[in-house]
Amino acid sequence: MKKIVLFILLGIFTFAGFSQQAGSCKSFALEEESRYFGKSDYISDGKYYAQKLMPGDNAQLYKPFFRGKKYKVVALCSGKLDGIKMEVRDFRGNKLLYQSEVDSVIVWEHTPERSSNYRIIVSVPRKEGATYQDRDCVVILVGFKSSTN
Amino acid sequence: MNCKKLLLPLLITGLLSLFFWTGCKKEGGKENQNDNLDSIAVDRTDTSYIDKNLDMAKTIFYSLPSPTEISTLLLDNKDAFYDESLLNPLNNAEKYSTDLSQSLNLGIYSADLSYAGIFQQNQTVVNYMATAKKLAENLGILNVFDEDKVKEIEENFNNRDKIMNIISEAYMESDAYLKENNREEIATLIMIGGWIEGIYLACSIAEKNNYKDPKIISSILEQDLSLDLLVQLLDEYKNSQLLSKIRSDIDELYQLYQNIETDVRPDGNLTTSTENLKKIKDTFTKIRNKYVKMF
Repeated sequence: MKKIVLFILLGIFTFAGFSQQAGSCKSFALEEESRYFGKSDYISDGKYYAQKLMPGDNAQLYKPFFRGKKYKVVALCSGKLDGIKMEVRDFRGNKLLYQSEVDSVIVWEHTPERSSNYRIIVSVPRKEGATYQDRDCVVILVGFKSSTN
Repeated sequence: MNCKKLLLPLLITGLLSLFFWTGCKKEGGKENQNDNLDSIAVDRTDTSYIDKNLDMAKTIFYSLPSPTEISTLLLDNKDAFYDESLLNPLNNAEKYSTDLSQSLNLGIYSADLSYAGIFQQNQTVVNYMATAKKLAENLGILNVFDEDKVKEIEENFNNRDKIMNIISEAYMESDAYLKENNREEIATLIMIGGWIEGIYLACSIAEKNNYKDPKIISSILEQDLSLDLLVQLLDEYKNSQLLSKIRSDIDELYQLYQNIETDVRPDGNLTTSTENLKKIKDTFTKIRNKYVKMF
């Protein structure tokens, strides 16, 4: 009986440890989506762009942005990460934004002059001695105003 | 003696640990292979800006305009209107029995939901949300489009943006669920269904207005950006049996747009001949009707 209890406890601890490490960014992304778009005059695009990254990694989003529409892009990171940087380029490679200052939240509002596909790059700065254990969530949220008027 | 007693649980625990550790490593490996795809956006003239050779590990997300985004394009047109006959009838929902038909039509119902929401057809929103919930559950997506959302919509009947945000939130929850559970193909089919329905609705409204709305016409013509993205996405999934079933439809649309010549009006909107617009409308309608009747 003791053996079984011990086995179950050890199993639970092991599972809890690893599932936390490999865990989801869903709750964090949904909470932030609600915070930034739930009560604003921007509407979320309803897409889930989230992943656990470690220092030195980056996440990129390719998305069409349409002329005259008012967009808001929010990039965020959680807990273990010190901060992120963000860069946005259009389809010609023109740099539309370069936020070199590291921050845990970056907000960018933008109204394109012409429709094109954008590349949004959110990077986690390198950190000496960082390991896989230092991973945490990076989320990109995109919203837009319901009308250009 | 005690050590012997501990041996079995420790061994099993060790094996369990190895199992979960392998799972974690695999997840990390997938990031490097850019496997967490939503869809792809690529410049037709210069793809070199897609930097695939950075030494940093990357996660790439590709995105099409969402149903809510396409619906709001309609709002920019003073002559846009609501026409319930354009929607996929609710009683079709119970006839969809495969992953393919359920996914595509969940996307289609999501777009209909957004279209009804943007014109504040609130009872239709509630009805379509209930239907979307059933289809989502059939696909194993639980706890989205739930009763709390319906209640929230009913409490915000006069606040269009709030209703659109509730719809977006439900859409994001299902997208997150699918991606977190490595079901990107289903998420992609939902996205494609929503996109096809959104453009079908826009084309239908444009046609009923005799193609006189410059903004809506421009929005339809600018979907060549989305198509570039879709073609690239399907290339990434070329081994997917599920996505191969809709490949010819996307290729047909892509070829059509490749052969459409456009001009830029003084106000910056794109324009083309009525004949070309009819061709686009007919092709979207044909594909959309095929998905809607996929019983």
